[in-house]
Parts: sequence; C-alpha cells; structure tokens
Amino acid sequence: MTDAEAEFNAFVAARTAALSRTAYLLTGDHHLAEDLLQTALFQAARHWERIETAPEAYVRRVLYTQNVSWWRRRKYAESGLGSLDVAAPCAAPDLRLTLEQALARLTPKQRTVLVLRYFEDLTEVQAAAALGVSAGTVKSTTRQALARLRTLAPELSELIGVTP
Amino acid sequence: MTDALRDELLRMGEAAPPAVVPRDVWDRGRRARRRDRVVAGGAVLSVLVALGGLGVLLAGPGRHEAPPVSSRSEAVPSVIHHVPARLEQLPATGHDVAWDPKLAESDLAIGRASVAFTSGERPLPVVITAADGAYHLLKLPGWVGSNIASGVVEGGPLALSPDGRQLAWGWYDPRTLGTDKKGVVAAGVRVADLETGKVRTVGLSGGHGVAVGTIRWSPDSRWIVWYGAETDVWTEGQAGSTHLVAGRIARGATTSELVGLDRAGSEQLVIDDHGTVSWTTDSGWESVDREGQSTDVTDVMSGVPGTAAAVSPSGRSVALATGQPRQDALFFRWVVRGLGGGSDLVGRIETVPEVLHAKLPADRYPEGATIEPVGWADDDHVVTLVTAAHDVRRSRGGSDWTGGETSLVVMSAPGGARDSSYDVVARLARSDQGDGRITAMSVAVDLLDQPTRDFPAPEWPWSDERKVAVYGGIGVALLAAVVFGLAYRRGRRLL
Repeated sequence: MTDAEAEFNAFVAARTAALSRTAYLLTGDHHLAEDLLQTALFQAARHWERIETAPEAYVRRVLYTQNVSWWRRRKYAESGLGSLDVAAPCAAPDLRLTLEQALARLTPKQRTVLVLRYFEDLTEVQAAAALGVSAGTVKSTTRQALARLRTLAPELSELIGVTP
Repeated sequence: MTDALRDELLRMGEAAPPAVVPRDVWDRGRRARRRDRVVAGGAVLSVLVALGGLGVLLAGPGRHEAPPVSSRSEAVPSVIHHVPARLEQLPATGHDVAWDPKLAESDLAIGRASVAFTSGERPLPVVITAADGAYHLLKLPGWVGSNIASGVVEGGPLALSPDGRQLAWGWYDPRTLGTDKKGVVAAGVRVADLETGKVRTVGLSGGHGVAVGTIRWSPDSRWIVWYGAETDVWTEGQAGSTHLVAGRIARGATTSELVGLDRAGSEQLVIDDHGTVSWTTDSGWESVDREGQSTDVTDVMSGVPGTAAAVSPSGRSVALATGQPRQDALFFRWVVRGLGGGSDLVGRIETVPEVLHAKLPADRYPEGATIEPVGWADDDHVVTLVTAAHDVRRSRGGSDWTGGETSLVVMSAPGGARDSSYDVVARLARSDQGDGRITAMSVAVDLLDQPTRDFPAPEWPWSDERKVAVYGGIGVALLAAVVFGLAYRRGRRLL
C-alpha cells in the first residue's frame, strides 16, 4: 500500500460518518446518500495528488454539486421518507417527519443551499464559494427555499422563522 | 435564519447511518486517473503534433536551422536525461550492440562537450554538447565498452576531459578479433578532439590484447591514466584476464607508459597535472610519479572504505568515492605540519597524510548517500555525483520526491575553502522504464565556473507504442474535447 493510499484510507475512516450525514441531508435518502458519498470519494481518489492537503473541502464540494447534477441529469423525482431504512431517536419526531417531507419537496438546489447554510453553518459567501455561484444566488435561493417550506408546511413557521 | 431549523437539521443528520464505502474505491479512482492522463496526454500531444506540423510547414526548408550559439553560453545542463534503450540496435552474431544507425553520429567534430556518459547494459557512449545541450549518440571507432572483453575489467572506458574539448575511450580493432584463442587483438585508447574531429590512437600491447576499463584525465586535461585488463584470451565469444595493468598517456602522445601496480584490484586511478598516478590500496595510499618514484603510505586509510576518484588541480587533495552510503564525503590529502625544534635550532616541517570528512546535509540525506567525485571546480571545491541512499519523502505537500535521485554537486573540501558550501547544480532525470542506465559519467568541470543551464530535454524518435498512442490519442482527444465541452456546459448550468 502506498503512502497516498494509506492517507486516503485514513481520511475515509475518520470522516465517513460526518460526510454521510451531509450526504443524507442533501439527498433525503440513505441509498442515494451512499451513492453520492461513494461518488465523491471516488473523485477524491482520482484527484488525490491535487487535493490531499484539503480532501474534505473537495469531497464536500463534490457532494453539493454532484447532488444537483444528478437531479438535473436524471430529473430525479424525490420521494420523501419512504425509503428510509432506519428510524433514529429524535426529540421531536412529528416535527422531524414534517420537515423531512417538506425538504423532500424542495429542488436539490434549494435543499443544498439550506444544508450549507443551516447544517454546515456556512456564510452566504462561503456557500457561494463551495457551490461556485455568486453570494446573491445563495441569498435568493435561501429565501426561495424558506418561503417554499412555509408554503408546503405552514406548521413549520415557528421552526423556520421569518425570511432572512 | 433560525437556530431551531439548524437544530432540527442536526438531529436529522445524526439519524443517518454511516454510508458503506467499498474497499476498491481507491483503486477505481487511480485507474480513472491513469485513464485521464492517457486521454489528456493524447489530447496535448495531438495539439502539439498539429502545431508542430503547422510550424514545419510554415517554416519551410532550411528555416529550422538553429542560429549559431556564442561560446559564452556553453554550460553544463541542469538536468541530465537518460537515453531510451530502444535506440540501441540488437547486434548481429559476432557484432557488438550499437546505436540505431539512423541516429548514431560518426563525425566527432561536435564541438565542446559538457557531459559524457555510457548508457545501457552493454554501454554505449553519449556526449552532450556544451553550447546547445544536444545529445550525441556517438559511433566511436573501435568502441570497446560494448564488447565482451569489457566484462573482464570494471568501469566504463569513456572520459571527457575537464575542459570538455577532448574525449577518450577504450578501443579495439574488430578485424583482429577471431575465433582463435591464440590471436592477439589490437586495442588501446583513442582520443578525439571534439572541435576538429581528429582522432589520436594509442596502441597498447600485452597478453592477447589490453581491454581498457576506465580512463581518467588530469585536472589540466593534459594527461590520461587508464586502467585495464591484459587478456589471456580475447575472441568473438570469449574473453578472460588475470592480469590488470595501468598506464599514463601524455598530451598528444601516441604511446602509453605503463604504471606498475602492486596488485590486482578495482582501484580507480587518478593522475595529477604532473603526471603522477595515485590510487588507494586496502589500507593505504600509493603514488608513482613520472620518474617511476613510488610513494607508498600504509594504514592512513584504515577503516575508511574509499577509492580514489578525483585529484585536485594542485595535486594535494583527492576526493574519494564511496561505494556504501555514508553521511559524509571523504578526502585524502597531504598536509604540511611543523615539528618542534627539539634540540635543533631550526624547526622542521614534514608532509603527513590525512583523511578528512565533509558532512553531507543531513536533511537531504537522512539515510546517507554514495559519493562519486568527477573532478574539481577549483582547488577547494570538488564536483561530485551524490546519490541518496533511499527514497525520501519530503514534507512539502507530500508530493515532492527528491530522494533516491542522483545530483551533481559542487561542495567545498574540508580544510580548504573559508566557508563550507554544498550546491546542487544539476541532477539526473528520473529514469523511465526502458531507459538505459547511466554509467561512467564524466563532466567538463571547467564549465562549472558559470551556472548550469536549462536546456530543452532531448527529443528522441517515437517508439512504435508511442506512435500508436499519439495517433490514437488524436482521435481520443477530439472525443475528449467534445465530452469536456459538454461537461463544461453542464457544470455552468449546475446552479
């Protein structure tokens, strides 16, 4: 095993759990999340010489962009929670189901922006850099996504709050 | 923005089980990377081929000739490249291996040279010219280095003079080579003037022919010392020897004067500007001057595994080669030491032998390095080939591999220069599979009074595999360009 392969394997072992969470939130489906993460890690292995100093940033960027790309390519119709294999304990299960169902009805673009802004805690500028778009695009997409959530699930108003 | 939304997303994320990552994802990624490189290489090459072809068409006949280069631009190249073994021509029965006839040069008036070396398992001579860094695959008349007799003595019988103007090599006459074990082969040393192309032949006699193994020049490029085997059989298919011999050749001479060696061995002899020949013995140091006066110093080398390799211009110091990796470079020299007057009113001085050590940079060679001196830039600075003992991965981004490579270094000799120095001035390019191994390298050290120069890498004729790859790559490149264009457009539409 080469040093590079060992470094890659160490990175995968250390970061798979965290990256899985992001992939799941981006896709809303465990199997799709697994495919998405595998694709991102495959790309990381492919370009390891270039990204080995900061592989996680690269992998996350692939997750974000690939998710949108898949949707565009396949015209994928998201199907909510039906495909979830495992139910996880949650403080507010009813609320979570509603949010997940509502997220599933957003476009991948809107969903991705929300994940970046509220799960990854990126600023608009950081999210824009990660997605390769302008900060204005991130801002408008965020506003549209939250507005759509409110429309789809008025009961989530308290969770979502006012438009930023 | 709401903290509640963030908290809820965090809870959703925590509920997601870790994805399964197949074990072969690394291998698949690397395979894809290799495919990328082939496609990209093909695309680049196809563009270059197209541009090159266009350039030739536009240039027209005669316009490609290089302008004359002034002598001030003569320099040692900063990178010395290997020669692909595929440029060698497999020998017919009864013949030695040779360069591809379409590439071999028999006109030796190539101009001042910077580097000479032998390449391949049955070594063939290569010379790099100083003005343009061009590689010349020379067809040296009678080149013995590829003959079966070269196996009976160590080394490579090729040496470029320190001034870069003369090339010496071991020679034999194939016409005198027969199947009769009692036959005598005409052999010796030849010296070419690289500016006029004139060749001087020095015949050597002894046994059934003398197969020259190594050749060294004096620092002033006037004297040659050679070391070889006096064969007891030398035919087309057989060569053997039990007697090693050495000799010195004066400037312009066509005869050689034998130097008496006490014993057989693998000594690397050196010769100074006065024609004094020196070599190391098991534990000592031995010299024979032009009058035949012998100086034999014993035990000074005790415990030091070195062989003589390059004598300084003054003749006082010798840089030693080390076959085993060490953390230091070794030097042998005579030092003048004053003795106490004792009961005499006048103090006395004497010269005593001394072995000196110069530390190599530990960060560059943590596992040590082997040293092969090739000459002296001046009396205080030796020019040497340094090869790191093992591959060493440097920390900068993890991608800069320098270990294991051979560098040409100008370093200060201990006890000489005021400030110690260690300057890597050139390096051997990493060899690819199919490249001939570089051996017996000699350098025109007189050119190192100025910086080494970045010459273009040599352009060898394409291999059949490469032609297939390139011409096939043109098609693939076009396809790749289409795919890239589509992917680029899709990427721009991403968000």
